[in-house]
Amino acid sequence: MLIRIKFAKKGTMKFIGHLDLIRNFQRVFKKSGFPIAYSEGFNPHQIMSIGAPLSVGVTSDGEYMDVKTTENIDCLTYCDILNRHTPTGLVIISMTELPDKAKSAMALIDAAKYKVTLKHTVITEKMINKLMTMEEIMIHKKNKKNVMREINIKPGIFHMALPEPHTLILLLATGSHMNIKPEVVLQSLCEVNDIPYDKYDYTVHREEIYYKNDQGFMPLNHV
Amino acid sequence: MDKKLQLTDDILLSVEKPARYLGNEINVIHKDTSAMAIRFALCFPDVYEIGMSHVGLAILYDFLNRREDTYCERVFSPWSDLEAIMREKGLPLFALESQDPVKDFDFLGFTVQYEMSYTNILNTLDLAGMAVYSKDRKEEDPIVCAGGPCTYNPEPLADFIDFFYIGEGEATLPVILELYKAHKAQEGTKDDFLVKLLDIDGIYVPKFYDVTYKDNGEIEAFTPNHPHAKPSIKKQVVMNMTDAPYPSKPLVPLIQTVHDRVVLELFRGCSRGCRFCQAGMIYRPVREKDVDVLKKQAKELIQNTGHHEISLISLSSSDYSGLQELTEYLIDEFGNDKHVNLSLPSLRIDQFSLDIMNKVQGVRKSSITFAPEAGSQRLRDVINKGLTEEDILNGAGEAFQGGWTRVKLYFMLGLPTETFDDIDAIAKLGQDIVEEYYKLPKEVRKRRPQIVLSTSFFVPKAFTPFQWSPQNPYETFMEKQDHLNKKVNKKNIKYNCHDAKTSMLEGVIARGDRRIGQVIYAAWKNGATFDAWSEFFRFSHWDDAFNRTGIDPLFYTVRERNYEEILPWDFIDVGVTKAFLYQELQRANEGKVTPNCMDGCMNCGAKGFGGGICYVD
Repeated sequence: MLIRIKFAKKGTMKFIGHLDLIRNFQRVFKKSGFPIAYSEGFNPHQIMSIGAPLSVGVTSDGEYMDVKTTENIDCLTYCDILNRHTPTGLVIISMTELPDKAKSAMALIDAAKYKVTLKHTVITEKMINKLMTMEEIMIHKKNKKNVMREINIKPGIFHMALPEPHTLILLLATGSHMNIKPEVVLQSLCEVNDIPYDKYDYTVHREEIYYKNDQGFMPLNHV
Repeated sequence: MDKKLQLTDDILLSVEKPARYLGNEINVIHKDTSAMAIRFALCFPDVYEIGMSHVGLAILYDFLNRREDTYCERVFSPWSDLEAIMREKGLPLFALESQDPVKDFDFLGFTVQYEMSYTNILNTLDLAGMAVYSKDRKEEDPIVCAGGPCTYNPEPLADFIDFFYIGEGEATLPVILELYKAHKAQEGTKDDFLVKLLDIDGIYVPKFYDVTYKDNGEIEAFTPNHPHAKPSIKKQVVMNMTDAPYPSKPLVPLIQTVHDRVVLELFRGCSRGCRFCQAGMIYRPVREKDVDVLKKQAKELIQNTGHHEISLISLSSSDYSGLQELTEYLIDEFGNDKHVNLSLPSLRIDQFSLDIMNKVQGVRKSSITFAPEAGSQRLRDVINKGLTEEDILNGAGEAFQGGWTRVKLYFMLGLPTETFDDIDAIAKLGQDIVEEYYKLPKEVRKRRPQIVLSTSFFVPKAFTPFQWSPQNPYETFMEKQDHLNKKVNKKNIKYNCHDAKTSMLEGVIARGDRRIGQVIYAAWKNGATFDAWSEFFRFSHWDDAFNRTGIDPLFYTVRERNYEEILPWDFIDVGVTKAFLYQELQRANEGKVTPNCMDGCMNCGAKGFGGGICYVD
């Protein structure tokens, strides 16, 4: 049985990096007696994959992981069981059964929604307009070969809003073909508007991860 | 859900591995600090990932927290990035669980596992905002204590530590804590408490003893200066290991540590009597745990941690009487569909252990390790390493037949009576093992064998037969290493070299007296911390410290001691007698081997503890 697990990473769990997060889940599955399937071969490992790795320091209410089980299980019951074994700050929100041939979370993801909370920096609608009306938003980024390249992040910023004076909502391209991080957008916003950028002046929270279909952006557990 | 943290987010996000400093692990113990009679800060003076892999710390943490009146929390050395921030911002060193400053605790207890952690101990005191020297600390500061194998010679740390605990914590800590509770209720001074400690066995309070020295630098007298101070401090041990408390819900770090696994302690002590080995002498007698208890503990531990590996630990796991029963049980219970690996360090390589290793699922046939310690049979007899060349070659041959191609061998350079012939024998043994591989039929030799020879430098330790022996000077160590390097045929053999500077310092500290405290202090003042880490170690910090204090390191290392000389640790009674150790030294010089305790009692003195292997027929 294929299952998509939605989970939150909160509080001090934000200091745990991606590989350690995976190790923690491996222990949670083992401890809880969750019937997770193992790969064949000489060095079997649990069959699980996380959709989009979250940066250290970022909290989230919308993380996804696909797992395979050896038997059919009741998702609701196991949601409770797993939560009894997770470290503080790691919460299983829901578990959804996937059709047998479902695309993996990793292959599916198109976008993510972030809430950026600023402590002191003041952002205005005008500033956002100034950025979003630019034809191109160029940034410098190192590629996998560690070579600096200029890329245009404009097509990756799907939506930007300022519901409250210190809260910025961003819907950004996420996944394998384009991956825009909120701090890059914030940096560009500050740069364009000539205000100082301070990487310790804000916190980032990922609210949801989406795939795109005819109806628009769909949360990943919308199967 | 957001727990109180000592460090702000911007600090945590600017340092490497912030999870080291959070105290939010699985199975972490949280108590109401206001309701605690005793707050104990237990410190492993090295970085988190090292300290968290130490089973002794886990045992004490569990043991102390079983008490309702006591809250034991952990303290580790902050990594250099955080230390710089703490010093810049004036942030105090804190304990992980409550995140409260160490200064607010009743006790600060160090577990002292290796000599190169001593400057970190001083640094811990300083970061906590306390004076480094005991005499300069304030009445409201925590009482500073220390235990662990290195403290069997407590003298180099005597000026920094209020009291030492000689032996296993489970034995007498409860007595100390009860005494402290009563003392706290009476609102006595720290000194009053230290005086009361003099009546307890196993406790050494350095300030109540004076040392005088002869003109030649040897100790003239070591004398108590308080009527209650005992002339001899007796090691405290747990005799009933089966019923001794053992953590069933150990902490599970959220980040990777050196050892991420469940640990089963099979027994304490060692019956082999290798003459260089301090652990083999100070942990006598051998005390086994019942195999049924170990089975039950294994099950509970896997259940409560979710770990994927069980490791059997003891000084020489092959000697455990229930080993076959235990490993068979573990393989049946956890192997195959349960996906738990079994790791078996310090096994003798024989058919039995190879069979087990073959059965254990998930074991990559990576390498087989031998620790012959010396290359020639003559020198192996001198050190009483009960391992023959035949054992090694047969073991390697069987391993090759079983599909292993990598063999690792550990040796020491600079053992007493060593000659260049003995060093040549190391290279020859490596070559003989290579040839053992080429004895296999051609069709089963899939790849080239890889033999890895590693040498460390011999450091004579207190409470071993070699406690009187000279250590090689630095130049000799390096000369021997170069010699061996040239002798090793590099075709199938890799040789791992080291620098001998830390071995020399270990040699000074391991047999140091009280005067060595000044050197440690001066080295720390020069900036020495994390000396066990090659990226931090600067010999110049120590070299300068010897110069400034006028202390000659060679007095402690290359000098041969007489039997009559008062050794700095003579007042500690580990059970094994000085006479036995000296007799072992003489047998070493004659190349005579001494049997394993299982095969015959040599009356080392450990029988005085009234139990364990000494009383098994």
